[in-house]
Amino acid sequence: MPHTFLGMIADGFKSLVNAVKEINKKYDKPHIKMSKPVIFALLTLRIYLIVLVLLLFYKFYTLLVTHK
Amino acid sequence: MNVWANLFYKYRKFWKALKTYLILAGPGLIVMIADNDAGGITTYVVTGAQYKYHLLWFLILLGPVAYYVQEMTVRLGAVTKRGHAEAIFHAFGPFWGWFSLFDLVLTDWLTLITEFIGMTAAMSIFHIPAVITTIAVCVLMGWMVIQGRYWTWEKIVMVFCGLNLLYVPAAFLIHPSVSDLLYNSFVPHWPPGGLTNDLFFMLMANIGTTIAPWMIFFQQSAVVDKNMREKDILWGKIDTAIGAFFTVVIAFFCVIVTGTLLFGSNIQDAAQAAIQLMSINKYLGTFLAIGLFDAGLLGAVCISLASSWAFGEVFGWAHSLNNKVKEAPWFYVFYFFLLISAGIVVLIPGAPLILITLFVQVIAVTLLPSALVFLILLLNSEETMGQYKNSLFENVTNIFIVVVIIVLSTLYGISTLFPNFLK
Repeated sequence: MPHTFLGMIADGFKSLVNAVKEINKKYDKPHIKMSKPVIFALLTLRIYLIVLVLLLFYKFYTLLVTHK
Repeated sequence: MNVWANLFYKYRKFWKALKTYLILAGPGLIVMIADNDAGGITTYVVTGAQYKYHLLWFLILLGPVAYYVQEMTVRLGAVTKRGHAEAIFHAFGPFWGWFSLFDLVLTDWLTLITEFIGMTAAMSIFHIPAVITTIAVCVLMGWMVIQGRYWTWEKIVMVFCGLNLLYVPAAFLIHPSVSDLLYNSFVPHWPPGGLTNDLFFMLMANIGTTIAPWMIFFQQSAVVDKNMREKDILWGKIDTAIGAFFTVVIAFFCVIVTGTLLFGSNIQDAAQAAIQLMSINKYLGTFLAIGLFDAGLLGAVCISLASSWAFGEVFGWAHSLNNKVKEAPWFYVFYFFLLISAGIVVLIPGAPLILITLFVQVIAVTLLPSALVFLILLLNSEETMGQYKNSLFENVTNIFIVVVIIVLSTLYGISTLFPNFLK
């Protein structure tokens, strides 16, 4: 298996997944003190990004509808 | 005798300070001058053509704005010894880390394409085919990084930064009215017609080009790669301030050139402006074309490095320009992958380049607020920054600037998506 092209891709993918897992483990816990302003800022940021993503989807939807 | 001794002492002190600065100068100057990338030059050219000198005062105001944001990256990099991507992972965990990293790479890659569009357009004025320009740029940028020394790379980039000052002699060639310039530079006012939607869009475009997400990641990583320490923070700040001064100077003189000669023309981009200037004065047209190419090159150099540094930091690869290719293969592979793939996109016949240019502004809006918010939060963290955390004055100034940038860049991004949004 490792000698075939597909095998090499599979190995590469596995090592990438392992690297990502290691990074997730390494940075598992946030090191910043979760004070109220920090929690508020992160929550606001999440809401902001969700709204932006919804707007992007809406734009693509309107583009698709007008192209039909 | 005492006077001479005093003078000699002051001279020695000044010379020593200058030498220290020259050793530590680089990240601030480069990031600020590269901030005037191909997209930036296009924005200034269009600003001059549409509003003559009336927005010069606004450009001057953007200098301190850029300084206050970028200065924070100097402190954060020097104290934590981490690039911005790694600092986000460390402080806020994997969710925000991966979000920032992938958003950065996507934004950088798309911006890199716009730099190639600018460079190929500039060289096409001299009848150089896009494919030759793209290959030459990839070879040049490859040669710059494989030297295996951060110092060498930095000094080569400084030469290109110097070339960006071409707009200064260009402005002197056309003898603009000094009294007009002084009035428009120091008396804030709206152009005739007042604050219209078009003007608001232009102001947002100028802000958008002054603070870009890649700048935050680039300068912090460069500070770390240059091995700057806490004691070097003052020099880093001075470097950033001088860079902010030059970024304003370049924008200022670029607007003067197009405001004087192309005011009222329907200019859409910098290459078109260069062609029109060629018919008025071939030297001016040449200056603008070379300046546009140089701006694109500087932008491309910094943007591709910002992403490679960020990936290297997070994945734990060797990621310094002081490493040879053999010592940091993945860092260089990633750098060349970004560079070459962006170049190839520009060469694809019928590639949606205008759509990409618009899309960059929208994607940047998803990254810029988070990068700025993380910057403010990290700079307020006692355990991260110690005595170098934001003072009350810095917090008031920076939070005000960040809120204004977020609101305006969001409006800019949304009005790019929905052109009738502000009408």
